[in-house]
Order: sequence, then C-alpha cells, then structure tokens
Amino acid sequence: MQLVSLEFFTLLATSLLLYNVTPRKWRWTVLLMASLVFYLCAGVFAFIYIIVASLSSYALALKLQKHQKEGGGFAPRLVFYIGILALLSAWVILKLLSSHREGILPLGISFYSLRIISYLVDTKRQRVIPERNFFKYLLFVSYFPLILQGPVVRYAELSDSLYAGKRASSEERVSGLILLLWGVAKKVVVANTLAAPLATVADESGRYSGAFVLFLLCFYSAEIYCDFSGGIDIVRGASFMLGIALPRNFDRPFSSTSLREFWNRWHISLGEWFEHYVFYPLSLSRPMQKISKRARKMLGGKRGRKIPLYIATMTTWLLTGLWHGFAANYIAWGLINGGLVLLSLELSPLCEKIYTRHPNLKERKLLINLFGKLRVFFIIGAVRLLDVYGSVTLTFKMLVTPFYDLASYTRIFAELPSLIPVPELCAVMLALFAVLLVGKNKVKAWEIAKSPTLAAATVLVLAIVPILFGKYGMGFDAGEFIYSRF
Amino acid sequence: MRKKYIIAFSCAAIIFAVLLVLLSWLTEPKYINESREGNLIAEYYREADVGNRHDVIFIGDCEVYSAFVPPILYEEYGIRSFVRGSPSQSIVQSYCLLKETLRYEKPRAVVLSVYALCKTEPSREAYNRMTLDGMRLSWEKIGAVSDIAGESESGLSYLFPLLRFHSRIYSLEAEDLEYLLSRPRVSHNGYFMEKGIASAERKDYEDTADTPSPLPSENLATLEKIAEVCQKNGVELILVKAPISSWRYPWHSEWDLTISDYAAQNGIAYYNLIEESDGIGIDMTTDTYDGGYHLNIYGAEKTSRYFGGILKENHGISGCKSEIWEEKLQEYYKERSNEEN
Repeated sequence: MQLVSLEFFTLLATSLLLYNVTPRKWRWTVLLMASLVFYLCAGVFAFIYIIVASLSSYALALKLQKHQKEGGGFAPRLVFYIGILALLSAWVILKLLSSHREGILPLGISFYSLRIISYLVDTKRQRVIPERNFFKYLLFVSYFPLILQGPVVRYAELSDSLYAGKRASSEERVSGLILLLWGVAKKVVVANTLAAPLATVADESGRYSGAFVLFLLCFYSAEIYCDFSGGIDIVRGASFMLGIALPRNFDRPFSSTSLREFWNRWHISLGEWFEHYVFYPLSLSRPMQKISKRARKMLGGKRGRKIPLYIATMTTWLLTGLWHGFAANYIAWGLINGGLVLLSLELSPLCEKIYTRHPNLKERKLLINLFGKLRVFFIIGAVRLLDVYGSVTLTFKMLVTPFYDLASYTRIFAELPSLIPVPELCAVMLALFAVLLVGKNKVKAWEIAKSPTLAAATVLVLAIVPILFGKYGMGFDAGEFIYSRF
Repeated sequence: MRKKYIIAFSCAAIIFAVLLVLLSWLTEPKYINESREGNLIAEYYREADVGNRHDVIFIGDCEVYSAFVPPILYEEYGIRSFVRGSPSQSIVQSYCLLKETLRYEKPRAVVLSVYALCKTEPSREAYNRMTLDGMRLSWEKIGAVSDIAGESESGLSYLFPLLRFHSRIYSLEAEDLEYLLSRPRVSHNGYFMEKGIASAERKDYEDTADTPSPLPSENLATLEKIAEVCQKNGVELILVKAPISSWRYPWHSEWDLTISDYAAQNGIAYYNLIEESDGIGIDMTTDTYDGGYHLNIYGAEKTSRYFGGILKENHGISGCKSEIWEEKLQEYYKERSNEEN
C-alpha cells in the first residue's frame, strides 16, 4: 500500500471515522488495527517480522528496566547489546538478501528499526519508562503513516499523542488535510513528472552528458525534495487529522548557505537520530577520549582536540550512507558528505577572516547569500548524483563532462522536449515556484485553516491541481516514493 | 465556527464535483476526427432520454454496427430499432449493455451478435474505452468495469475518465473545446455508415484449415446470463452471425454447431447469415469497405432487408410509420447521397 493510493486514503478515512466515534480510552486501538491492516497488505513475512521485532524489543526493554531497578550489572547490559546486535544483524542480512531476492525486505524496516533502537537506548539511559502494554508498544513501532518514510520519531516524541486519544479540532483536521494535499501535489505534479525523464538521462549516460548532467543535477534535487518532503507532508497531514502531531522533517533546506545548515534542515529527524544515538555517544565514549588524549599529545591541543570530532563525524556519515543502502555509492555518498561537512567547518574561520578584512562584503548580504545558496545547491546536487547513477566511477566521470562536452549545451535545447514535453516542464517549473514561494513566505497550513473560506478554497485548488497536472495512471506507479526504497 | 467549516467545505465539494465533470468532458477523447465509432454507445441516450422506444435492439461488436441499418428496417418493415454496437465489444460488455438498455425500455426482441463468443483474450484498453466511456454512470457500468478492466487498467478511471485522460490537458485540440458539451451524431440509430469499396481479394472462409479452440466456457456462461435476463424481462432473444467471415476473423463450423445446439436446446432462434449470403445477395467484391472484414453500406442494406424479413416472418415483428422515423430516414438518405455525390 503506497501513500498516494486509493487504498491508503480509504484506510485513512476509515480510521478517521472510527477514531472519532470510538471512546477516547480505546482510540489507540483503532490506530493499531489500521496499522496492522496496512502492514498485512505488505505481506505475511513483513507482518510476522514486525510482530517478532516488536515483541522481542518490548520484552528486552522491560527486562532492562527490571534489572535497572535491581541495581544493574553486567548481565542486563550484555542482554541489551545482544538484543541491539540481533536487531541490527537481522536488518543487515535482510537488506543484503534483498539485492538478490526482491520483496524480502520488510516494508519500512529502515525506519522502524531506528525507532526500536532509540526506544531501547532511551530505556537503558532511563529517559523513557518502557511501555507495559505490548499492543500500545506495537502501535508505536507500526504506526501506519510512519512506516514508509518516517520521520524517524522517538518514543518520547510520539507516545503521548499516540495514546492520548485526543480528537483533532476542526482547524487541526483542515490543516492536516491541506498539508496532506500539498504533499500529494508536490509528489504527483513535480516528482512524478520528473521521474521518467531523469531516469532516462541517468540510464543513457553515454548519450546524455555535459549540459544534461547539469540538468539532472538540478532537477533531481527538485525531484527528491518534492518526493520526500511531499511524502512527509502526507504523513504529517494524515497524523494531524488524527490529532497526532509529528515534528517537521524539512525546513526549507535549499535556503541554506552552508553545508552544515543544509543538513540541519534536510531529513531533520534522521540527522537528529544519528546525532543522538551515534555521534554524541561515540564522541563521548572512553576509547574516543583516549584517542583525543593521544592526539593532543602528538598534534598539540588545538588540532588534537579535533581528531575525535573528525572520527565521530566520518563514522556518523558512513553509517548514514549505509542506512540508505549497502552499496559503494552510498558509502561514498556518506564519506564525501562527512568530508565536506568537516571541510566546511574548517573553512568557516577563513571566511570570517575574509569578512573581517573586507567589511564591505558583509554589506552585500544578498549577493553573498545567493552565492552561498548556489554553492550548497550544486555541491549537494553533485554528491547526490551518486544515488542517481548508482556507480562511484560513473558519477565522477559524468561530473566532469559539463566542462568539456560543450556541444551538449546546444543539443539540450533540441533534445529536451523529447525527454519532457515543454508544457509538462512549464507545469513543473510553476509548481516548483509555488513550492519555493510557500517556503519563503513560511505559509503554514494551520494559519490557512483558521479561515474556513480560505481553507476550503485551498483544499479545492490542491485537490484539482494534482488530478489535472499530475503524473499518474496506467503504467505509472504514482505512489512509489524514492525514500520507501531505503 | 464548525458550522462555517461545514458550509465552506460543502460549497468546495460541490465546486469540486462540477469541475471534475467539466474537466472530464474537456480531456476525454471526442472521437470526432478519428475513431468515430467511439461515440456509438453514448448516442443511445439521445433516443432513450426523449422516450423513443424500439421494437428491436441489436447488441454486439463491429459486426452489428456495420451490418444492420435501422432506417432500412424501418423503411421496409416499419421496424424501429437501435444498434448498441461498439468496436471489439466483448460478450460481458454486451451483457452489461443489455441490462442497461432494459432499464430504459423493453423491446420486443434483442438481437445479439454471436461473434464475440469466440474471443479468448480480453479486449485492449482502447476498445474497452470505446464501450465503457460511452456508458453513463450506473450499476451496470460499475459491474461492467469490475468485470472487464484489465489488471493494468485502473477500474476507477472508467468511472472517472479524468484519471485516465488528465494528461491530455497538455495536448488539447480545438475539437476538445468545440465538442465539450455536445457532439455531432456519427451514426444512424447506432448504424455506422461506411461507403467505401475495397473488395475481398479471396474468399477465405473455406481456407481456414486449423482446428479452432472451442468457444470459451465463460463466454457461454455469459450467453446463458443474457438469455436469463431476456427471459426475465419478457424480451425475445435472437442470435445472429453477420454474413461475413475472413481469414483474420473466421467463423468456424465447430463454433456454429455449438451455438446452433445451444439455441435449439433453449428454444432460441439463431441465424447464421454467412450461410444465407447468396440469398442476401452479398458480393464481397462490392459489399465490403475493408477487404472483407466488414460490410459497407451496400452489404449492410442488403443484410438489413433480408434480416428484416426474418424478423417479420419468423418473429412477427413489424411496426408502424412515425414522423420521427420518417425524419431519420430522410437524414439517412441525405448522408447516403452526400457521400455518393
């Protein structure tokens, strides 16, 4: 069941109806039933796997809590690490097997595994009190809007609103509907329209080089942003309608003027997860402190202190890359991004120096900002081509072609209409302009929802636009999201 | 506040529905400049809506809309008829169209073309569309969609064609606006006039030596259902095979025997007009417009005169003169002579 599908909208509408007529105390059971139905549609193996993963992590958390009350010791710690290792091993094995046997990877495993790990770690850290009701816990793991592409929400962020059974107000429901339709529009009008032509450019790399690579770089960024953020908008919108608030996962990432800022604005929940459960624990671990001590001795205080930061950053990015997939291109993607973030960090004092020496540069804020945004856009876009081409060598080979394949700059005008018809490209550009405008003006669904007339008009437009200008229908899987692959 | 939301969203829902219908009309193919047969199914409602009733309803694929001419049946025998034919119409589609037609009227007889009974493969989407998109939204249509829509086809898009044709918004033509609200008539009570002559180069009926596969049992089961519906509604069912058979669309003697046996067992009349070709006077050098696959107007007129006689003599179906039908006849001859000139 995909997020943009009749089945999903039917399930959501049924859940909404039942949720609102069920007594508050039992409303969470409606969500659980809907989640189980959603998961059953993904296949029996996926269903059994999520039940087993939930059951074992549920038992492990309670065991941990019991031992903690009894004073801790080595045994519970061992059980905890074995549990985490077992979960990770199963995930890794299934992910490896999935490259040989299609359909073996349980739906959304990459997302709910992170939720389970964070739950167990937080239990160990005594930041959450483990849930005693298994079915409530199962709901946390399997909550259906989150299955396909997150956001990666932690137990403390989700549990209260998930179990409270709060009925959404009219404004919340309307703002949820607006957000959901906005997500559908982004996905169907922009991402789906761009998907086929960009895939052709990437698949036929021998034919489409030079200017086509730049075209791919720019428009793939648009595609993946509208695909992923559109999906998240659908998830958040659906949850708002149920009275469940989810955190934002994107915060206008293309307005970033530095790489660090970009990663603080893109896939926020995943970044925070890796920060909380990989970067900080690693930076503050005993081995790292030892390394830091040695490095300070060898390289001096200032440089030596940075070594743990470098190691933790690169490890975090490597794992982020692996989370996307066990392939060389994802590993390269993680390491390059980690390297670029560190480089950006190292160069920031130099930039400050330049600004100090040339104070008039700061006055040209608009120009500097524009330069920063373009720099971030092209760097991120270039690294992202690793995902598009799927091969490290091919990506680097293609990235240099815009510098020497000058004939492609005239060829692109002749060949572009055969890749994507001009009216469709215009519709995509208009939609992208709307996306940027909405982001720039910080238009909020809940603000629109305050006025019934404005809200109804917005819903009307957002319902018609994807139907008319979207890419879907026969031979096209409109519901498949890029991030549901990971 | 809640009341305001309800009012605003009710208005939005109404506007949404209206827009959906208008956009659907705008984007769906008009079948005017090409594939004009795509309009045949919808043309029935022009008759049904004004209360025109018929003595005979023909149902089937291209064989019926190219072989039976209602104005000629009226002219010769006073029989008022309508042809609910569409390209590559499957037997399931014929069944659904029959049920829908019987909601509007109860004719004295329904003449069903049996050729579709030999089809083993489901029709292509383009052909399904020419039947289903022309049907009005009804339970019969919903039933037809769930029975017919191929796996790759979205059943919902047959009920809401905008979901299928929305991408035409980028390639709208002048005819899409011109025929947004109404389309010109393309048939004469369902008869699709073709006046060209392209003679059949060889008489292939005897040449088809391969042993055919038997008529699919599910098709025969649908025929059974058709017979039941007719019986329930007090309408006589008549089976017919148009007087045409070619190497591409053969009608084998084995199939003929199956239908004959079925008809005899169930007391249903069956006429294989291929066997009557000489009596009808069919000449495949002048009576076909596409080398022997379909009859042209000359072959259709001969067939209609002959079959009208059967309807009158064997089934006692005859009618009376009416003003509306006189007009129809005039229109028919006007178009006939227009082309000839």
